[in-house]
Amino acid sequence: MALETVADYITEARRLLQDTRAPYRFPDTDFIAALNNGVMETRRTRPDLFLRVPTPPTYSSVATNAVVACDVQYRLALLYFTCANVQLADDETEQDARSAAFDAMYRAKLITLG
Amino acid sequence: MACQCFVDIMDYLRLNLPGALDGVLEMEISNTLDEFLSKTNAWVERLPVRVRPGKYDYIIKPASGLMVRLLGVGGADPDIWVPAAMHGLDTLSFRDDPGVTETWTAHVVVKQSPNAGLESIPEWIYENHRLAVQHGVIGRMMTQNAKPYSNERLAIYHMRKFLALTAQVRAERAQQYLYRGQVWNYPQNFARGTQR
Repeated sequence: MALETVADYITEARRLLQDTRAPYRFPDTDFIAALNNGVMETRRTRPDLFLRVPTPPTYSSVATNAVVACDVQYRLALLYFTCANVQLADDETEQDARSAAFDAMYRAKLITLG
Repeated sequence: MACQCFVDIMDYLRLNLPGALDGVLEMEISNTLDEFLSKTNAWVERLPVRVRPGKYDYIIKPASGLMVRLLGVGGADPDIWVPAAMHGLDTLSFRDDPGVTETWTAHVVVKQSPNAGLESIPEWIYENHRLAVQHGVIGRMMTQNAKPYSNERLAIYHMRKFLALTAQVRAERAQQYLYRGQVWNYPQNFARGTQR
């Protein structure tokens, strides 16, 4: 199944950001930091996704094969947040618009039927 | 292993509540059944109580679930209630000295224990009250804030259906599921007027 592990998220995020060829524009650590931010933000917005999980999990670059604890229905939302958060660090005007678009898609998937 | 009726209920809930998580659905099924069973007296257990002369208080505990209230205690003649009440939800207390050594039967209303999980609920509750459970869960889920399935208007509709079904079961339970049981007990010749 797609989007199971941290590495899956990095691969998919690189594809959406068109950063698939080395040398990469964004290092893996950026994606992992963004993924961790996404987990924290999702915990705030949709606490039901972390039912009976008192502390949201964090991921690191030493274990990219770790499974990301997220229900299959909301993995795409978490991927969109990862893309948005990585692009937010990019100091380019046109990147801000793409970041905002990814962020809007993330929020729409979490709280609406969109 | 969940019964087929429970599986069907979960499928129905998933198709009515897109984006809902199974863990949250199970939590709301538990909440819905808690309210339903507390209000309707639908789940009754008959507990044997070995009474002794001079002893007024007895600890009783249902085989599964939590006690909600006492319906009554059948004495030597099981059709005649013995005056009794509950002191707390575990101590059965008789008004009078039982005076004999024999086994009486306490009829208690039960609901599921939150610690036991949904597996502890008898299958017949899902089978007989499937619609009430479905409407109750959908109504509760739709009242949640900022979810893909939040819907105030439909929540009202489903909660009304749930409350109507709850009232129907409570009334039927009170009449021992006997069709027109009230009419049979009180012949209409004795009626002094109509309800209109």
